[in-house]
Amino acid sequence: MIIQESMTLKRKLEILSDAAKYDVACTSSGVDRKGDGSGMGNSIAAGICHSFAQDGRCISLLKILYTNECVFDCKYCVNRASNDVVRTSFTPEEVCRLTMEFYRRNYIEGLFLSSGVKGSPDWTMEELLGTVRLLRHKYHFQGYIHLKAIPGASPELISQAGYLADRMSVNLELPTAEGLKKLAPHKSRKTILGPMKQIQQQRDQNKEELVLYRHAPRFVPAGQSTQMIIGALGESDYQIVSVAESLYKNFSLKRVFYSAFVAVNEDKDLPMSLSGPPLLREHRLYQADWLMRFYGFRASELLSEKHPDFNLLLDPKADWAVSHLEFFPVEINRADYYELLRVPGIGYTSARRIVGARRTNSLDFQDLKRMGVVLKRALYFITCNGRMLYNTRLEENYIVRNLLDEEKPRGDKNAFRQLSLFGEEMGAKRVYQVNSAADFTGKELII
Amino acid sequence: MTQEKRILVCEDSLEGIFSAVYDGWKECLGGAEVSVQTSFPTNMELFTTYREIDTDRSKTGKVMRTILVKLGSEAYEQICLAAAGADPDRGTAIYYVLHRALGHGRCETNVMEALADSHVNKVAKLALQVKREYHHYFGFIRFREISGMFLLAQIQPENDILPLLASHFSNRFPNENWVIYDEGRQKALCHGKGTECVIKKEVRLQIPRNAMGDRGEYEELWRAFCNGVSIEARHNEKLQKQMLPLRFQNNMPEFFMKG
Repeated sequence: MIIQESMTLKRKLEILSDAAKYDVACTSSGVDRKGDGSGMGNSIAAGICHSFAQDGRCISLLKILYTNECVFDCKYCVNRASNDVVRTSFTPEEVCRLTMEFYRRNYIEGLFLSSGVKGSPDWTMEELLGTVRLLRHKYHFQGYIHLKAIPGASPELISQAGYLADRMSVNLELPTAEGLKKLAPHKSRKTILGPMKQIQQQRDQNKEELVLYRHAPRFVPAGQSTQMIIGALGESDYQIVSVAESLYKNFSLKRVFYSAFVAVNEDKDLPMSLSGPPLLREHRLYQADWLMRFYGFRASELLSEKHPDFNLLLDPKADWAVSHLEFFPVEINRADYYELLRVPGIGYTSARRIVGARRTNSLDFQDLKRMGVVLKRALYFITCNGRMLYNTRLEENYIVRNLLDEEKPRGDKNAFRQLSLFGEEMGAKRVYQVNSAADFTGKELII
Repeated sequence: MTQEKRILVCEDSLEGIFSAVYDGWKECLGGAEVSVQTSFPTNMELFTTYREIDTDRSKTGKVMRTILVKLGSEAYEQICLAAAGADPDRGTAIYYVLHRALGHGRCETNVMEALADSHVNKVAKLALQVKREYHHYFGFIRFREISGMFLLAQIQPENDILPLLASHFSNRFPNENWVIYDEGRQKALCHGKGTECVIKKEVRLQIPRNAMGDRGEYEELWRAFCNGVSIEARHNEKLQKQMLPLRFQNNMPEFFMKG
């Protein structure tokens, strides 16, 4: 490990952006703030994507590590202490210059600053704090700042950082405490949940202050987020969504991010990566996350101990709907907003539009189509003025077969063949043979 | 005999459309079919009366005020956004939506919710399109420094979104000189340090070579960054194209080839 003193800014940027890329949270949302005219920048609550990388992920913030030197030895991380990689650090001035010049050209929406742990957590946190302070006070930057709280840093530093940043995050890393112990021996649930709780409590306090004094400084106005690695250990989807749900409930997080495990290190405790990161699984978890945040679903409705993983062939909402046919069909012209939300093919936008439009006249399938309802999925579950679109059966196997046919998921139409249903009628395991799906060739998939 | 068709021809702008709405308000009473067009048609139709509408700011102001006061700010915003669209039939749709909401002494404040009506649906769709496009440009506009004097961005939007970009960017960069140039419409949104934005029409751009203030240093750094943050194991160019369509990419330095 050699630290080169005379590294160019470009080389540093290459190394430290590469080192930061596994952090998923690149959103710039959650806070509306007008510029006051004295400096540069503002922020809008919806967030703005400025570019998209070759992996299709949004680039919204200048996502960098302050340094990739690290005393921690987390087994899944590129920058673990025992890895032999080129190490370097920015100076606060360099970070500020990059942020300001990129922002000026409208490349970015703000700064995402994380760091390896150099020396001690406190030392690192102080460096991050100093950088952000410089950016806010000397350069008068009023754009978005997402700052990582370093696990183990003192509460005083985190409290100071909260008044400068818009969003803060502490990574949960792994859904279970045992997993964390195994893969990230230097981190513990305590050092992670401690700062998280602190930020939550200070935010609540700050809200009360803001009621009294409108211009009081705002503490982490865009809320906090966290991220979990998916598929590094054998945890089930049910465990993951339950953890996410309790984070939303007990820590009032704004977002929980899921990051499909990418094998960058070889270690006996890590799984072998045979077919790349589990992207489809990650996608299903995000879908479930949306269902919990915007559609009023609970984790226990989507999955259970007996049924611990998501169906990779059907999205979680359709999966829920076909196994709860007692709620359907839903009458479009009478059902309330929350019932509409539970219909596959109707999202919150179309549900809102339906509720508005049916005030003036009763709606038909044509009208629904015009409003953006995905009829090919919704048609099995809805009626308009008492009539269904086609003569379809309200029957689990029938609907599943048709939904899968509709989506034609990689492969020919006969890819999904029903195998055994002998004797097990109620609550039977439904087993489908998957022939051509590349991810699980020849395996029997239980859904 | 059926009523003959009336065509109101107006200027291709928000002011033009609202002037046509004002002048032609009574045209559709009695059941005649009315169409508001933003350019003189190349093929004239039979049994049709054409009427040219002069743009009048005071009439535009009256229409806008009426919409705002009677239908509320949300409907007002949607109708104005739709008027900035590129669809040639947008004038007609706006005309009929306003008639539905305000004609015969009605005042249907939630007219924009009645999406089963084809005109309302059209206006709502156009408004959404325009909104999406200007929101895209909030992120995808790229400035470059010209001779250290000002920042220039060139865009080719489908809709006339320059006025919609003004407040966002002047709030964001109050102490910079910058220009956003709409290449298709040859219009420029100009902002001087500490002043208000102005839109200049019929502008031709002439940029001398070697006008780059910083010799592309930050473009180079930006490219390095964009390459750095992409994860190879998740490579997905199709998704990239879906999220960032090619028509935006020709003004973005991260997609310029090296050299």
